[in-house]
Amino acid sequence: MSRTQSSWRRATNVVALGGAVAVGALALLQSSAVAAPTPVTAPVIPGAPKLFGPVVDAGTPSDAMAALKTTPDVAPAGTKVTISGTGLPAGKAVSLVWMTANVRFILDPKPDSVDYIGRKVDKIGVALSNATTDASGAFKATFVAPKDYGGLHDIFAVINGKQAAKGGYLLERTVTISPLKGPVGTPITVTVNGMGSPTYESVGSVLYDNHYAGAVSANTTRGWTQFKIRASGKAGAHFIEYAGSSHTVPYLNMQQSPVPWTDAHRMKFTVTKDAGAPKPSLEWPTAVQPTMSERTTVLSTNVTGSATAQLDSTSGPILTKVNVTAAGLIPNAPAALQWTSVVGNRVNCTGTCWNFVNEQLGSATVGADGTLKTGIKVPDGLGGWHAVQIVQNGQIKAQVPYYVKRSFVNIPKTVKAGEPFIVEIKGVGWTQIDNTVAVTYDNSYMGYACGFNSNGYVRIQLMATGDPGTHLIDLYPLLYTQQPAYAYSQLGMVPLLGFANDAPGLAAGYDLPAYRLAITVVK
Amino acid sequence: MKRLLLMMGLAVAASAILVPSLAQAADPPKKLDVMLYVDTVNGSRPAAGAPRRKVSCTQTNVFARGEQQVFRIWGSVAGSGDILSTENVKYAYVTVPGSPNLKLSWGAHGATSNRVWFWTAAWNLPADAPLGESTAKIVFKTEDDAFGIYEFKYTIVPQLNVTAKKKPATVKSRS
Repeated sequence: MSRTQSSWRRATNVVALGGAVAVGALALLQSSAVAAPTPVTAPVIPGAPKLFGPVVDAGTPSDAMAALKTTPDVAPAGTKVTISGTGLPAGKAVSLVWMTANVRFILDPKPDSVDYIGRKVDKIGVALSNATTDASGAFKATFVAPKDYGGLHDIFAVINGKQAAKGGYLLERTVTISPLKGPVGTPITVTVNGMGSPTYESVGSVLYDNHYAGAVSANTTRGWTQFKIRASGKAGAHFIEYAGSSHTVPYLNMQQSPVPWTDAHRMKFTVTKDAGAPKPSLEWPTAVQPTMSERTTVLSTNVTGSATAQLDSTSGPILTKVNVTAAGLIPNAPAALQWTSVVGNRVNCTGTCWNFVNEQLGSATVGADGTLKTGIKVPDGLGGWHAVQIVQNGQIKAQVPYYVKRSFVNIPKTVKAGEPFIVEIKGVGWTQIDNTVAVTYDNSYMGYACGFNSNGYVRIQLMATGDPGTHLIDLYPLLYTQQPAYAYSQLGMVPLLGFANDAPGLAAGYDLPAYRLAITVVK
Repeated sequence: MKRLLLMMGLAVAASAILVPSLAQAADPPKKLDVMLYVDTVNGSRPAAGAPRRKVSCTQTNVFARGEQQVFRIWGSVAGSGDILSTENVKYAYVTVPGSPNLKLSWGAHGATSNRVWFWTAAWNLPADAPLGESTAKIVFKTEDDAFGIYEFKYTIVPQLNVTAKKKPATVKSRS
C-alpha cells in the first residue's frame, strides 16, 4: 500500500484508481476547514446520576426576597433536609426550585481534526418539592438532597412565578477508595460524588504519596465519577489525596479559597507485598453511544451517486481484516478502495501543519448487479477516526467510517536500575482528543508522548528508577490543549484519570484506553 | 423633575448584572443618567464568634455567616457630574434577602489626611443566612424624585479559612 496525498474537499479529482500513484500536492489545508465550536450532548454514562427532576422556570426575583431556613444546609447527597419559610403570602402554592446546571464539553469538529475547546455550563432550575403556605404565610417541607453537582445550590420558593424567598444548600463532596489494601499493582477504585459545576470546583487532582498522578472531572456525569489508579511503592502505608483543583493541578490551599469545600480528601492504602509485575493490560472507557454525527472528521462531503457500503466491523486495531460490501456501484467496472487519513504534525506550526492523504487499500471489479464484496486490512498508521472510501472513475461512490483503536506493542519485563527502556504502542491518533498519551511512573506524572508525527507509532523512552522490584507505568488519555490553544480548556496536558466516564472524546466516539504496564527493576 | 434615573454601577468585586427591574415598570430609559460604583468589603465588627479576617475593608463578594458585610457606593449624576450625596439624595438603602432594609449613610472614611466620602451600609450576616448566591438591591431616590435600583450579587458560604488557625485543619477522610 502506498500513500497518495490529496485534498479532503477535492478528493474526487485526485484519486488514483487501483494503484500507488501519487497525485500531487493539491491539499486543502486544515485552516480552510473551519467548523463551529459546539457544546456536545454527553453520552449516557452508566452509574452517573440523572437529573433528579423536571427542569422548571425558576421565576423572577421579587422586590422583597425573604430567607428560607434549610436544616441541615451542609451535607452530602442523600441527606434528609427540612426547609421552611415565613412571612410569605398566606394560602399560596409554593414551588421549591433547586438551582443547578447542565455541563457539556465543547468540541470543534473540523474536517481534519477535532479540537477540545473547553466546557459550557448552563444554569437550570429543577423542581424539588411543593408546599402551601398556611394562614400566617409559613410553610415547611422536606426533601432528600439529590445526587447532583457538589457545592452551593440556591433554592427558591417560587409563588406565582416570583421568587418569594431564597435558601441554600451546600452539597458536600465525598471520596472513597476500594480496596484499602493489596499488593503492588492492585487497581484502586476511587469514587467521587459532588464534584462541582463551576470552573474552580469542577476538577480534582490525585496525589499519590505527594506525587501528581493526574486530573479528574465529572462534568457530564452530574458530579459523580469513578476511576482507577494502581497501588505502587514499597509494602506499607501509602497516602492518596484527592485534591481540589481549579484547572489541572492541585490548588493546595483550596481551604483558603472562596470554595473551601473542595478541599482535599486524604485516604490511606496499604501495599501488602510485591507479588511481581502484573501483565500488560488495557483499561477501556465505559462503552457509550456517541452523540456526535461529525465525529468522523475525514469523511468527504463530495460523494457522488447513491451507492451504499458496509463494513463487518467499524472499529479495531491496526491490521484488522475487514470485509467490505457495497451496492449501487457502476456494474462491471473497477473500484478502488482507499483509506482516508492525514499526515503532518503540530510542532512549531505556524501555517499548514498537516494534509489529507488517501492510502490505497486495493481494488476489485464490481459485479454485474452493482455489488461489491471484498476485504481490506486496516493500515498500520494513525489511530482514531478514518473512512474507507470506494472510488470509481475518480469519484467517491460510498464511504464508511472506521475507528482505529489503540494497541499495545511492547515493554521489557526486566530493566536494570538506571538503564533506559522503551514502551511501544500503536494506533495513536492526531486530533486534540487522541494525539498523545500521558505517562506516569509509579503514579507520578512524567510527561506525554505524541503519535501524530510518527504516524500512530509511539516509542516512549523511559529510564528504570527506584528500588529493585515492581514499578508501574501507566499511559492515560491526554487532552492536547496546545497548538491551537484555547482559553479555559481545563484538564489539558495531564493524565486524564477519569477518562472512562467523563472525557470530551466519548461523545465523538473516541474509545481511548489506559495502558496498565509494569517493569521489574533489578540491580 | 420627574424622570427615571437608571443607576448604572461598576462592581469591582462582583460579576454585577444590571437589572433595573423596577425601572422596567415605566418607559425604558433612553440614556444613563447616573453612574454608580458599588462594591462590598469585610467590616471590622463581625458577630461574636464569627470568622474574623486579619485585614478589614478588603474588597470581596464572598462572605461567611456572621461576617460583617459593608456596601460601599460612590455615585454621580452623569449629566452634571454632581456627586450623589445628602445634598441631592432623598434616601438611599440596600435590600438583602430576609432582612430589614439597610440604610445607606453618607460619610467620610479613611485616615484624617486622606478622607474619602462615600455611601455605606453595614450588617452582620445572620447565623442562618441562606447559603449561596444572594442579590442585594441598592436603591437611590433623589430630591428630584428620580429613582433607580442597582442589583449586586454576593455569595454566602458556611466557612471561611482565610485566617491562621492555632491547630492544624482537621483531615477530612471518608475512606
